[in-house]
Amino acid sequence: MIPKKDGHEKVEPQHPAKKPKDKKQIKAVPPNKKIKSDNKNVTGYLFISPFIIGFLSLTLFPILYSLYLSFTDFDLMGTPNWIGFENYERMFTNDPTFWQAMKVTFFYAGIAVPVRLVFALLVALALNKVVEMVGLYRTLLYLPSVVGGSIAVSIMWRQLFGDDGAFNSILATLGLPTHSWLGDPDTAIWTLIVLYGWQFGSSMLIFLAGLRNIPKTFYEASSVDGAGPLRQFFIITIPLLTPVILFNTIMQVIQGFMAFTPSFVVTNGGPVDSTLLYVLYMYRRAFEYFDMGYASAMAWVMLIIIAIFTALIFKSSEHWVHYESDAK
Amino acid sequence: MKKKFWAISLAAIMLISILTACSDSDGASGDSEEEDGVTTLNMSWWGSQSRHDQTQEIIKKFEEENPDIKIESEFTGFDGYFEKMAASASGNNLPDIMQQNFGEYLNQYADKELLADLTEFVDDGTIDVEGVDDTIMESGVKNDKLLGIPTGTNALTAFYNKDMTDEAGVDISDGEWSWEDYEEYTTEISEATGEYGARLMEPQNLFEYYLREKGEKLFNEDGTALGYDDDQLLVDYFERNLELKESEAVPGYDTIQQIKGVEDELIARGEAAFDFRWSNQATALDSAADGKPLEMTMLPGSNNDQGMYLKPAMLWSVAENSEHKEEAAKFIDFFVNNVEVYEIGGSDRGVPIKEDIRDELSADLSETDQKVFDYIEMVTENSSPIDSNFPPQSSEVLGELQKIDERVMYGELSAEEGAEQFRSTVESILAR
Amino acid sequence: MKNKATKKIIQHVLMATFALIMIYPLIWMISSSLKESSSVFVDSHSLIPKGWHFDNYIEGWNGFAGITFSTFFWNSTVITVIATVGSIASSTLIAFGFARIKFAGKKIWFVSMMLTMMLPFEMVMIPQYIMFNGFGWIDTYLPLILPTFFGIPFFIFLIMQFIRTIPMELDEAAKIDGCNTFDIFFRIIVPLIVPAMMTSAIFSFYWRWDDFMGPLIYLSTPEKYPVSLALKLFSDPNSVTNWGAMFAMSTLSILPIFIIFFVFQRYIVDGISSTGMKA
Repeated sequence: MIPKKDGHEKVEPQHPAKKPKDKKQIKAVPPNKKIKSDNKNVTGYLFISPFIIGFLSLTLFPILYSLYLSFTDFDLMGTPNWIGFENYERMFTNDPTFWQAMKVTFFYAGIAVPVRLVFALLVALALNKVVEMVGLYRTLLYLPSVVGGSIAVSIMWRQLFGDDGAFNSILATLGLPTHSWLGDPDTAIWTLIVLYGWQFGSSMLIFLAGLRNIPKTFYEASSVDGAGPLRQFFIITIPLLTPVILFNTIMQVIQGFMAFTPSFVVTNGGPVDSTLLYVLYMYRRAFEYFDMGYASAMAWVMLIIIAIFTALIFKSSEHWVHYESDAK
Repeated sequence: MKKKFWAISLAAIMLISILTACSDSDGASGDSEEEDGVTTLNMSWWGSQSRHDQTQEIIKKFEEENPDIKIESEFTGFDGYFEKMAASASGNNLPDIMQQNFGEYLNQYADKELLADLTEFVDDGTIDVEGVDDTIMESGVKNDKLLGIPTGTNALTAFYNKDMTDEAGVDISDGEWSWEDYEEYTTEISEATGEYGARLMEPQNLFEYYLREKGEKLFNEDGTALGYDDDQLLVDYFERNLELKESEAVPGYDTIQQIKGVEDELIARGEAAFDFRWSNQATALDSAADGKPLEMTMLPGSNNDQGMYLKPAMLWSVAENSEHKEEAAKFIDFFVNNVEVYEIGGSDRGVPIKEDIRDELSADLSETDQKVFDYIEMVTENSSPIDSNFPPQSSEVLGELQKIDERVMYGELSAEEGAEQFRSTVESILAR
Repeated sequence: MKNKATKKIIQHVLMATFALIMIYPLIWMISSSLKESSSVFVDSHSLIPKGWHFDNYIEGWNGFAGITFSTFFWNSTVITVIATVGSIASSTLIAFGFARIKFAGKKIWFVSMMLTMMLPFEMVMIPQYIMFNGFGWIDTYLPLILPTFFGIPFFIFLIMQFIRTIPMELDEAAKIDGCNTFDIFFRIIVPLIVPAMMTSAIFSFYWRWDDFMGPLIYLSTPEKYPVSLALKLFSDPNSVTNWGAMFAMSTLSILPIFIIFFVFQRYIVDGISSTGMKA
């Protein structure tokens, strides 16, 4: 074991990225030869040009059109008529179902998102440790996210939480009271929250990639300084993982609020609208009730809510996210 | 070198994107072109695996008889079919022939004038519907235009498990039973067998039937308000179900919520004796029932001949934007009048609307199909025309009814409150 | 030593149990794919089918109206591979621009990009259809493939976050060595963010493979359908659905994702150690 490590270290100096020694060397050189700023502008725009072109030619029109539709009575097939803020007014003053959907969605996102994030991080940390067969475990744990919103999931999930389903059998063997999880308006939403947590694979994968991206030399250097594993976790792992944590948090907030398939395929919003997620209600309004104008207005209300949350998270990230590229 | 490579590839990406983004509108997706006198029609339907295979076979037969017409099929599952059609409609791309659903969809398409009036083709004999019952043809009429020809008919059905009714000594095979009988039998069967007497009634279709049986309608003539004045009707409907639920003769929504599909219904599992649903689900139920003797009869009510109606399983419509309406009409005529069509497809798109075809087929029907044909025969003689005055908002109205029914059954609302709330909600929906 | 071995065994037992619970639904699906179609629901609680109905796989593979699943799998492969290559290449470029270069108006473009992720596809789908219809792209793969070449916001943001974990000193050192921005991107950044790119590739592959709504509205010829759409052709709530065949094909449709994941996850793990730079 030990000679191998030595050999490894001998190779290392070729990698400037990984050696604190080299870092010092770089710092010794005064930063000079700043590229002119208009040159930078050109380069910057050149790099992001695919996005700008795609955005202007393909994305912008549908987005603006949907904004326009939110001020019309568009019924999916006829001609849209301008009705001003009527849709928005109706939504806030005269649609109890809208508020119900809003309530359900906040509850769902408020619990399901943190649950998935914490779960994904813990599993990623565990998988980062186990060395043998880790590829297989990783694959197996990612698979639930792959079955996604298929009919199979809907049937299986209802089977799992049914009166005589696997979940109740486990409770019964443990001597706990069983329950009609899907049939009770108070508990049905929890089955969807569990479903969301269960499909943690994609967040886990991103955390894993983030963990693997932390140069091993950082740990080695701090070991030399005498830091234990716990201390390493807090001074190296967590700070260096914060950019990825930020990414996952923002994406999960967006996805949590826009969740649709679980309640569409598993409960279809019932019983008594207790699992009516916002986007499901919006979808119904658009395609079942031929109320596309109203649904577009709903989409823009949701966009504003998500945007506010995202902006807040970005704002707060200045205090807790550590970017190596900004580090002094 | 590297720099050049990246600069060039970036430039290339930009160039391609600009070119492709701007090279619009040549060729505007010609949905039908004529070559050598052959007309190409597009045709869309939804369905499951067997329907796709069978329809393709039917198309082949049609093309053999009409070598100057070629049909390109676009088929999907039921999920997403109408979303796809909505997108097509927004691009003026509706297929020449489309499978259409009776009710709010047909009405919505009718209001937007997206479908062609087929009256002229019926008048000039291109589509031969000689001898088809008027009540059936009327179901395709909206705003005085014939917008769809039924592919076949369905009816609401009381499915029952004959073993279980026998066990309780109940006989309903003649379809003569009142709502009081229904209550009594359900309780008796549940006591005799230890299972549920019936599945909880599904309000979206059955409340309308309930009203019709009482001589009332769900919507008024022009679809601008509820068609019944006395809320007591809905109160009675709720209370009847509530009572049965409380005595555990029918299950509550907690059980219903867990059903995973037609094949998983209580009656197919032998856990309920009655189940009221559409006749075209007989095949699915029978195949899942694993030999349980499921029979079909008319729904309860002393005036059930007034409540019962024949419904188009689906309709064939021709898009207004079609350039080949006459050829499309020819296909519909072929579908309606050709016995081979039904030999291939069975009763998958409902029971044939023409009597002579029904007679011709009766010799070699499957056991289930035979049952369905006999039942439809019985309903044809004991029914009144379907109400087609459903407003475009009707799916929202029926959704609301479903929700209120759930709340009443869960005890969140009393029957009176439920009936009252339904009326006020519907009024505000229809007032928009 | 002995202590270490026990610890390892316990670790493996725990992981294996956990993994088993997690993949229960998959096992359920595979077992359903071998059941007789009509008994899928009646026996839904049991994992072991009564009788092994491998013919579900044959019936399923036969597809619809003479179009078999070989066609659908081929279509999916074409769409997915091109779209994945396109989205990863362009997203990496764009991410570098956003993460490493300071230029005027960057913030506005970044915010625009984030906002595009906050509208559900279902809401922009009708306007998008109208637009693509105007381009004459209906019933082609262009609406499904071409947009990916302009970058996918999710991947752009993801790769950005990874680039930002790389110390700026590296770029500066490279500059001193005479590298320009393109060299830095290609020779320093790209090798270091392989894990992020591979993660994106796995996601892109899965999302394209699984996407149903896009193909549904943009494709009309069944011969052009991908697997995701073909799977939906089995079911109609009002008539007999061949559940066995549907589950059989669902099982097969997961196989490519499984393989892609299993192959690519290696690059996520090995990312940084095996792709060190040669200075």
